[in-house]
Amino acid sequence: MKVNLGRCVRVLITLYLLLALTSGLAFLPLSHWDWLISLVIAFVMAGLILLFFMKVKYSEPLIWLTSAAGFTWLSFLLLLVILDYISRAWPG
Amino acid sequence: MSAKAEAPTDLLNFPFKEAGHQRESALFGMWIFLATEVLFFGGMFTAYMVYRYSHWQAFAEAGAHQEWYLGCLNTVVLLTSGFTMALAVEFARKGQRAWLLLLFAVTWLLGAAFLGIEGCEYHTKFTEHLVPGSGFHFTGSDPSSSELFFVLYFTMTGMHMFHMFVGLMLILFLGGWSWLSPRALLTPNPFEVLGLYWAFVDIVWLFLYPLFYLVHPQ
Amino acid sequence: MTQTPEPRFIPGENYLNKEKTLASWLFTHDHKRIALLYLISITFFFLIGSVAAVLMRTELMFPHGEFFTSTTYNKLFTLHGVIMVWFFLIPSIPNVLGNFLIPIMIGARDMAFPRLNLISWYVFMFGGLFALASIILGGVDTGWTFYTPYSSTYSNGWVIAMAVGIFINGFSSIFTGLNFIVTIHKLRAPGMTWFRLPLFVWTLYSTSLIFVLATPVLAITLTLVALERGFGIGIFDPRIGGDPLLFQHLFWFYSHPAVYIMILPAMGVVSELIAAFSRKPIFGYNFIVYASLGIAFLGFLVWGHHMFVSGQSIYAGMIFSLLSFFVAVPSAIKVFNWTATLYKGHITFDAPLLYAFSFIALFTIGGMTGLMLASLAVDVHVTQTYFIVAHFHYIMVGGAVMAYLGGIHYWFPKITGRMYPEMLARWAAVFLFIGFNLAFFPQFILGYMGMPRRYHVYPEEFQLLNIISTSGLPLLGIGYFLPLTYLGWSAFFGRLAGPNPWDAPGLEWQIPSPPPSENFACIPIVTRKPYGYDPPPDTHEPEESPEESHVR
Repeated sequence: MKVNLGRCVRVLITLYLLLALTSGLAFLPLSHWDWLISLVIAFVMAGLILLFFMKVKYSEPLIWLTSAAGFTWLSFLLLLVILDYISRAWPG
Repeated sequence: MSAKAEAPTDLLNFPFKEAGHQRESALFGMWIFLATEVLFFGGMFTAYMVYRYSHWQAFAEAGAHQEWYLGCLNTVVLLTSGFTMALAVEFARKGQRAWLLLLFAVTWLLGAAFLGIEGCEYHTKFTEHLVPGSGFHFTGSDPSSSELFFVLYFTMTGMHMFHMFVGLMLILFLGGWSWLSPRALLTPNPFEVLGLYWAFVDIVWLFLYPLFYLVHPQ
Repeated sequence: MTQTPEPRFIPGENYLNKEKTLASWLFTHDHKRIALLYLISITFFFLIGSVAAVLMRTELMFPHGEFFTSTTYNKLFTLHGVIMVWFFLIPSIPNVLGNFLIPIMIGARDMAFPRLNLISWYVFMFGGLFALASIILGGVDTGWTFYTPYSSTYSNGWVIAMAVGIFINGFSSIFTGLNFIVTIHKLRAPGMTWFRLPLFVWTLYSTSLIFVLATPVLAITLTLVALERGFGIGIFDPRIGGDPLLFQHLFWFYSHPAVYIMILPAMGVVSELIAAFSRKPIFGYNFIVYASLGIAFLGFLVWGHHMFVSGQSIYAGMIFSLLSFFVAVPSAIKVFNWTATLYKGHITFDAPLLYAFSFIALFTIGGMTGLMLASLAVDVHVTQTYFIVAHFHYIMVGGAVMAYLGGIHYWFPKITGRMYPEMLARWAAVFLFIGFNLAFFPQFILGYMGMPRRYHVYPEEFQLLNIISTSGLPLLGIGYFLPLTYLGWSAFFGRLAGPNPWDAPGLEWQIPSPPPSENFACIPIVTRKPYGYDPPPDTHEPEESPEESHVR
């Protein structure tokens, strides 16, 4: 069986730990970078679910690409939109 | 119970002639659908990004009113349900109906618990006058922009709840089918597809949690 | 491992005559029948959209608002845009020609998910129902672009109903794109490698990538507008710190790639037509493949060029302008390659080729004016004028519709088993070309002179050009009406065409016309590249089939 019980349990424990980490860090006064840290941890957790619960790690390359495609395209939207908002304040 | 027999050909959908080929195609199709879901939710994440950038202080003040511990509890609940669903799919693939049904039941209960906890949160928001609209009342540096935080909160968690609800219905449907029909597990693709859907809804929440509950939690 | 036996083939039985009940059509899983269901639907919607166009152009002959109030006029151009974009152009080539041809061109018996294919048609019709309901109940006056805060707060039209209709329609697109992608990846016949695929398949693959990646953003955007309108509170509301411009970002993130959804399949058709009627392999096949994928990709990065004067930052405008220049390059590559294909080809001026020529000429004009619009300084002057209207009609009508009609004519014998009357078709193509230019070229001048779009009251000095523009409509009408009639007639009474009336290579021409339900008696084994025409072009074609695919 590609996803054995032991591996699933280890992934779940890791997810719980990462949840505790991100929740704990939120209480520290990290000011303007708190969102970045929590998002990075969220990506790691999502990655674990993708790789192990959704079995992307054991799937053909086509599935790898497809699983990345949505996020990649979303990043185009996010990047260019925030560029607009950030640069509205620039001189000129 | 060891490896089950191949599905008889009358369970293959035209134009497929091999079970492996059909499975690959079904999963590929589902992954494409999940990509569309990423972009669907992504539009709302874009709105969140823009407004948190534009109204940093107001969002921080709004975030302080969130019940972060309920969000954390809900995340534990969902992560666990993702685990049980992943196992359920494995048992479906192996044709072990009893385990599948048990794990489906646990997953369903966890999902229902999630909805219940979130329902409590919504109720609290209502009593604290944090529901956007005419009843909204907030004291802060920029109450109207803080209202925007809650507009996004209800819209995004509401859309997520809708997807959870659909997932719960699908668990009931597939669970019921496998309980009533002994041949259901001869075509395990729908179960695997449901597993992908459930895990995806889980992943969406993993991003909603820090964005709505870890904004200056108290 | 057990396998399903090969289907039995009865001579004379095809997908049309196999079963003739209404139920067998409405519950079909056959991609070819579903294509025809779509054909009927989109023709119906095209007629509705055309009526709106005729009414608008009639009104525009007079500068003082002769027949309609401004609100009614707004509802007309909204209707025209919504119906033509979502219920005609977007589904036209993909859902009619794509559905019919893709499985055959790749050597498969059907799409990967035949039932999803049928569902996509029902979803399309259900969305259409909402759109029509919204029109009948009184219409929408926001323009097809639904800009906030007018659409979300102030408009008095049936916005939510229309938004729901378009949302549902979007799922039809997503299901179609999903089906095409999985089919092309997973169901190609043995030997049909990616670089042996016809360019029509490549462009529809590229289109499908846009279908699945862009449409969901439209779905959420319309949902947010509907929620804001329904609950009176929303994220585009400036009163609570929202930005109406966010709507435009989200909307155009879909709607710009949407225009590539409309033009890429047309380019695929043109590649097929140019090769077939020059009797030569397409020049630069690989370049056209990469150009198609490039257009699909780059098309996602340019949406801000619709927002140059909206309040978007000037720096974002500069980046979008630069990227918009880039996206023109792959389109230009295609035009050069088509021209090179024609060079020293054995050209026959059949109707499909006339449509292809129209496409090349008119798309080039449309594309060049697009470059003008990509320049920030020019766009500031001509944005929201008739220059824009002319630009996109040159591409969508002069380009996409011409290619659609060319494709319909070219594959008509395959779809129906009968030929259309060639001379009449050539005249129709000519009428359409002349009528189109008469109708739309003056609009470039009008826009440049400053006439705004979406206005039905305008300064009198613009009246002459408006009258000239409207005068193109009768010819356009003939150009549309003629094919409707002679194709309709020929489908039942035209002379029998045989499997390969154009003597073209390609898997679709190796099977009977009309094809049997399951396409191939045996799945072919492909051994050669596409467009396998034998040189030299001016000797009589040899007896052996140009493509050595073993189709028994």
